[in-house]
Amino acid sequence: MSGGHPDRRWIWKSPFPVWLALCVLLGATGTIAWLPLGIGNMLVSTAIGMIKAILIALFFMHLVRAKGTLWLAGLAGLLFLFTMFLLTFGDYTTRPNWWHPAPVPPGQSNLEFPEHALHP
Amino acid sequence: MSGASFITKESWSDPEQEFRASFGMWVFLSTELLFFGGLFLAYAELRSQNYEAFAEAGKHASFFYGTLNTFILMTSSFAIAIAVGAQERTDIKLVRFALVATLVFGFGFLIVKGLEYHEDIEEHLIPGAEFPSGMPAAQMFFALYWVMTGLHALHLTVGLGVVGRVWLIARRAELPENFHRTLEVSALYWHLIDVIWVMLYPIFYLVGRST
Amino acid sequence: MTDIPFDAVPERLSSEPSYLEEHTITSWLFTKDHKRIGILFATSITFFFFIGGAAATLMRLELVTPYANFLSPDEYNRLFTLHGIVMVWFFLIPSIPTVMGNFLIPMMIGARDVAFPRLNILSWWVFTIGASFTVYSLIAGGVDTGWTFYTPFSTMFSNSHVFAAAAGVFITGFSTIATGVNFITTIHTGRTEGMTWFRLPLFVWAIYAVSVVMVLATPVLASALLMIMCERMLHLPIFNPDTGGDPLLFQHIFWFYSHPAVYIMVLPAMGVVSEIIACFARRTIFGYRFMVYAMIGIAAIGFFVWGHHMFVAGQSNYASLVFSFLSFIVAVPSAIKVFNWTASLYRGRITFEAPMLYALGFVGLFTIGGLTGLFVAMIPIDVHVTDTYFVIAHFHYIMVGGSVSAFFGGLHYWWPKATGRLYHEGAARLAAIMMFFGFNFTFFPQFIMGYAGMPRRYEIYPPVFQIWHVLSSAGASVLAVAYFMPLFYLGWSLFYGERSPPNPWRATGLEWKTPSPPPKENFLVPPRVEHGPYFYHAEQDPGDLTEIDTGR
Repeated sequence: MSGGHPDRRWIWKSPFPVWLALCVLLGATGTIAWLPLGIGNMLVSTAIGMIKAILIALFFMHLVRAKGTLWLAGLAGLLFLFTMFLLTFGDYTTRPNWWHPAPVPPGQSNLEFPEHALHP
Repeated sequence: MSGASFITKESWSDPEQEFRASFGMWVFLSTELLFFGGLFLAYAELRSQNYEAFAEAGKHASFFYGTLNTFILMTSSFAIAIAVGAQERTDIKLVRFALVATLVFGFGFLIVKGLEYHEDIEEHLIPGAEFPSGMPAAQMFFALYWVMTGLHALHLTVGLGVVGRVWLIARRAELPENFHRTLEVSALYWHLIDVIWVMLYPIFYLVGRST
Repeated sequence: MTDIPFDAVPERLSSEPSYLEEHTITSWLFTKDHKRIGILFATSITFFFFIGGAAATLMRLELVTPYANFLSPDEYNRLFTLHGIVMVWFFLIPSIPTVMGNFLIPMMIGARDVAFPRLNILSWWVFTIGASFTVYSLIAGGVDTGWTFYTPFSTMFSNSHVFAAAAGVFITGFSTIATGVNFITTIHTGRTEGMTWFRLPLFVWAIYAVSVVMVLATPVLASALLMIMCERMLHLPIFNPDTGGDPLLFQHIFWFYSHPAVYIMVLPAMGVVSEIIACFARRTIFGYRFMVYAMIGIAAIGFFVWGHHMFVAGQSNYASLVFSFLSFIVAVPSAIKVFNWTASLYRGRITFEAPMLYALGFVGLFTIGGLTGLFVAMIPIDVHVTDTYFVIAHFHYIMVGGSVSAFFGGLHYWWPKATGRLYHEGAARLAAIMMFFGFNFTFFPQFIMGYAGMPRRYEIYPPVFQIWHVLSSAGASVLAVAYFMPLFYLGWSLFYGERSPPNPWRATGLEWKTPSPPPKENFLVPPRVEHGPYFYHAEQDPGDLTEIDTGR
């Protein structure tokens, strides 16, 4: 699949800004991780990781100029990955002890069903 | 039936032939995504159940080596993207140079990884009796750390073989007629290794830094 | 175009040697020909079918009396685990896709081979390597976890050969993935001129749908097994409750694969049955497009229902409700298919050759299996029958009554094409009828005793259930004979059978437009397609269905 600009300088001109953006994002995520944002740390670092992954997929892996069938192949994996997370967490987040966990004695799982749920 | 005789046969049109290699690779990449996806799901679920222990454990992972390796791998991805771009514009010298750069960065990643593993073992960050952190759930962070970074390193080693093979072909005086497909498909695999690492970096090296 | 007489011996007419011409061992083991790879897989899975069958035979013998006769409880555990692992991963999942899919997909779409022939033979080698790990675990003493490898038993307590068995399944997964990637790419890029998506035979659509499931589900099993192996060998706690780990997490990841795996087993069977019913009813398939949408729907929705295996495992009630609802939804496309097969028979000129007997058996047994699937999708009934023989009977109706029947149907239907020989029709019909009755005698009593409370996985049981167990074991002996019969009459036909014409069934489809056995590159000339499949209907003018395309 030959494509893109015929000029040889474009060999560098297309990937270089992407690499630069990746480096800036790496710097940003590495710095923000040390700021006390609570749960925000996790959200920001995951979001930046996803942005980096999307940049690589779109530009380094040439999804931008790819046929629809390639998108289909890539997105199918993503869609079912999303479903796996959605339905699994659909289970965990609707359990009675998810939002108000009982204090866990050391060495025990906090996943046991509370007594009131077994014998209402 | 060899691959070459395939193309010359009239029933196979050339655009299909061009397309099928990268399409097959994309389907395989979806598979890889879900392979790591199962492990990511395990991580997400266990971390959500043991939030503080994971934050505590995350402090033991090496921020320096992790960040350095992210930079190295992103640059190797950049290098192989250059190789593909140079091939499209028939600059074979630049193709060879960029492939060597990719390989050098790839080996560099493994060396840094080895140093990091060495340091982890010195600190007894292996789940078991000698594990330093007091919280039992912290051991699970490192269980997943070893499984996922180990699996990634295995993929990277395979990737080095794949890219090394492309480099050996590129050194020939006369390139085989399907060389551009070999290069593009191998580059796709290499980029995927990078994508996986980019997602591994925040979940193992940036956890619990601010607490 | 030259008309070839119905009983002509194709070899004399074609200059191309058939794919069976070479006889050296290496020409088989390192072949890149999709037809030979199909035969290699057929040999491997036949071997495993009889290993798994032997385990089932021992279990049924033991269960004739309520007391332990010749097996200890531990040996019984290892036997049902062996039966499950071998039948699921080394027979059912590879069966139709790797044997008939490999043999037929390129021919049905008019291609010379699959997209990646080297990957194809690699797939067989990977399968063989994975299988040898499992055979090792058998010889070394077996596994006692059940085929589901549930944690924490498999990771912390079992002292059987879990690692070798899990490694075997893990490696075999790569073979499945390679085959899936190959088929998807072949069907996307290898179709001949005029073969549009909606002119594909339903078997090709079925293999396409199943390949998508294989490619997206199998890696998740690989990740689950990888975590088990790491926890067992390297003592990395992931599912260990002592460190806050979660054994139920394994079930989520495992069933995300293993429920779609049920569709890996049954979707290709649906494809085979569609081909056979259209041929022997001499009718086009009723609602072709809806058959396609139904298969794609089953493949997609099949991913969203795995939680119905976990109703009693401590899953949240709200999640159970959602999974129960989604399980009802996935029954809709399955029902569409059953209605369409039935409607395809309407006003057909039906003949009852052996493949048709198997196919009709499939429709009936699959319907019973599917409807009892709705029983167990209902939470209250599932709580009652969980881990009883009711569940055993339900999934055997789908997998044995459904998939295995269809496998035998397809085996007979395409046997003349693959070997160039005809088999003894009377013996084949007898085997098909015996298989149907033997199957029902084996598994219908299990519905009854299961509903009455007989739990699965026990060799000792209350004497009140004995009558049902005896019935079941008696049926199993009929079934065993029916499974052995094809080995003899098909083996006989291989050497002494009458030579087959190119199209013994007068069927449509590109695979019949070439000599039997086909030449190395499948066709004498690249075929062109001008209309959809199943051109049987009288008003549609089937033309002379016996001709082969020689390009003259």
